[in-house]
Amino acid sequence: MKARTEFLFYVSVGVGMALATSSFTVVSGLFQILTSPWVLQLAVLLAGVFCAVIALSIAELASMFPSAPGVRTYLKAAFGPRFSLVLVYLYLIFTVLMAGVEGYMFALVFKAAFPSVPPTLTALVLMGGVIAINGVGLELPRDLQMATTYASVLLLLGASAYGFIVAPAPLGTVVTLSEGVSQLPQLPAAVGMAIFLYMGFEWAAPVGIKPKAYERKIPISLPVCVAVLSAIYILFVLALPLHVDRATVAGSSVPHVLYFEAMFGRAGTYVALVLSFGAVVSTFNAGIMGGSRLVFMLAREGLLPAWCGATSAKTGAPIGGVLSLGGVACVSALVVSHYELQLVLALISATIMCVIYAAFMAAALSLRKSRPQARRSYRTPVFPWLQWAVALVLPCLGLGTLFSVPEQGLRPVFWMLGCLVTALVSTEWSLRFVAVKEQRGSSALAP
Amino acid sequence: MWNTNATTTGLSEVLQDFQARFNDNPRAKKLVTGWDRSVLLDASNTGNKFVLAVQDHALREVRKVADFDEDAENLVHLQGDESVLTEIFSGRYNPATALVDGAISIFSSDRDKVKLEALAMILWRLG
Repeated sequence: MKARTEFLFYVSVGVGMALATSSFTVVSGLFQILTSPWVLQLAVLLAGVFCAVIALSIAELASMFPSAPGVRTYLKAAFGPRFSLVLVYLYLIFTVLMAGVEGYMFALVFKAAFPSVPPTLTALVLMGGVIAINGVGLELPRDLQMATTYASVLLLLGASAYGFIVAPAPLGTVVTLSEGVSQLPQLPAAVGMAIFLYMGFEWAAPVGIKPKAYERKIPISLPVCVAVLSAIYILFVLALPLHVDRATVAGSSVPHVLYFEAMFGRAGTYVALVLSFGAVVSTFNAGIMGGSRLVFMLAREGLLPAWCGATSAKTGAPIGGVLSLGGVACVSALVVSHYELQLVLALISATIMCVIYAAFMAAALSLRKSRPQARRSYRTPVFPWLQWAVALVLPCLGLGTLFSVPEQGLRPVFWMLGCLVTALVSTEWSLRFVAVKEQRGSSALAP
Repeated sequence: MWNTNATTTGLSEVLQDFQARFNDNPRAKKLVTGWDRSVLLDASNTGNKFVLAVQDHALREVRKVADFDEDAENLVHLQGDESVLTEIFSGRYNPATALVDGAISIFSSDRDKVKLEALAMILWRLG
């Protein structure tokens, strides 16, 4: 792969992971809590600034541990096995929740194009397809992955720009400064929610093809991913209310379908479907693949039962991880579709990732003290005090996100507590599982 | 647990032993069907480099090289201290754990990483 193509590949991985169908559900959530487009844009922009700072810390960690699975390696190195395992389980819970939401959101877009097909069926067929693809060890070719991602980026940027050109009312009538001032108190919670729009950019960190990639290409690609996503979402949230009524946007889980229909009529539905399919290909597939490798690694470390680490005799694919994670993701999709939990789970996912991103930043700072001489081909230029500040603010933003949509009441809080308890119990169970195995091993070796 | 009977000689000898073990294992041979790769072992602390050539269901060649084209097609690049690589290829260190520990880096596609981990499982745990 040539140098320039290699850089574009890294950017495509990060942008492709973040650009999900469920991102538009969160755009809808943002319209529920904010009616002022400029405050909404400010939230997206500030979330982007936070993520850019996070990206530079992750780049430093990636240069210390090239190609390593970040959520386990960085946090284990900085905080030890127990705390890192809690966050790994939270990350796996996030993966499962997002798989469910993403599957159901794609199903809703599919239903818009083909109304007779029940969303639950579409979601399950999609899940089954992804599980089968990963189970047999098929991998999306890099060129196709790049083409899919950049086509989606260009489509969204182009459609937003076109929306400004053909807008029925001038932009000034939508963006009024005075209206937004009263909404500034909601800004922190909206920023936490908007972080969801960037989640996944960090997936570019472990995919370096060559050691030298960790000197410049990966560190630069991470903030570039954030910048590209900022441009996409800022333009989109500005163009959206020009063509679709704000209340309608707030009431829809798939507002991009409404936008494309307003722009291109019935053909717009199919454009939205193609866009969502591209998002599913890049996000959903990679998520299940990455998550299943994490399950595989935990099983190999002895933290999960051996069957979770089972691999295909023919391809080496981590079948145990794919089936266990895919199975739970199917249940997640069914729960989401039955109870319409997409926004609640998206809020929880944003909260989980705020905590994990804060942990990444704290890890980078902690490792500078505990391993000052360790190899670092890249160092974040952000001042340490600013890194600490962002690391402390992020969990607060995540917490605020749980309360950001008053209509949801305390449901997001209860769900978040459930996730936390699950992660803590799983961690304790895993550590005891290892201890028992080691005890049995010692007994077997005893004379 | 991992095999603890492996020899503790240098990386070169360990790789010769690994080649024999690999080519004697039918499950390993099945796993590399259609997976023709050059696996570059890059000892970052000593500068030693070895290439394992996997071709036609077998580990055809193990050779020490002075340098290697990192842009070569079908290359899987493993980097780590020589002692860590020796531990891995003698079956005393699970490569998946080594990756999690940050003791090695693997530069390849995800599927190639998965294949390497599966190979290690077969050769040292289930073989």
